[in-house]
Amino acid sequence: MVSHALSAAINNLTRSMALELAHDGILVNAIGVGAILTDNWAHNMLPDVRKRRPEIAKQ
Amino acid sequence: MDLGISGKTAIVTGASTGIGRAIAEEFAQNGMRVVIVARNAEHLCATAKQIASQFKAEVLPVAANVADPAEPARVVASAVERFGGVDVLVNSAGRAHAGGILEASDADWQDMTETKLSAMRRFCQAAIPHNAETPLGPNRQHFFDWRYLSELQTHGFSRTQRSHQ
Repeated sequence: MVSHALSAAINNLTRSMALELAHDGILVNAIGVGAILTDNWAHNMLPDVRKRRPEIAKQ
Repeated sequence: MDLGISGKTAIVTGASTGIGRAIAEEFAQNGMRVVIVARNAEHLCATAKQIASQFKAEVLPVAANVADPAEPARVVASAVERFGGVDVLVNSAGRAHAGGILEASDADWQDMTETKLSAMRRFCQAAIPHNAETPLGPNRQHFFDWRYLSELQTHGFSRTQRSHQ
């Protein structure tokens, strides 16, 4: 959930910088991809979360 | 499809695994010179060799912890020294701890904030021309794409779990 709060902060930082830098021809963009089932997610991140937070894994 | 990025230089953080690596590979495939950044030097150098070999591309690995306030400037300086400038910056390094806002320790909060948010501003400060001493020419075109991971915490976790059932 901390990640969600930071994502919102990143969005606003992106908008502010996009406005500041548009006249220099610099594009500032943010892509929020959510959780993606990559190999890294499946083999590293998910097992790590399950191990560290068993109470979440049971949900 | 010609993306018009051939010969340009990109910095990609969090580039030794996952989406960051996929972005670096896509850039290399499209003729870009790529500076890849991650903490684990050994893994990063192996990744750089693989990408360089697979796509016949110039790849410079710079091992760094993006959460360290001094590192973004060093990474950009390395890119400028090797390739003469930076055209594209992708802040793909992320860090997410499971759990709620009220449960997260202050150390975790700081760690995530430095990695996901503060590092982006520092990288942009270092890479974007903001004075006459800029390493970037005035007529070059710059793209700055910021990726962030949302819903990676309990929500994304439980959704991903369900999709496995």
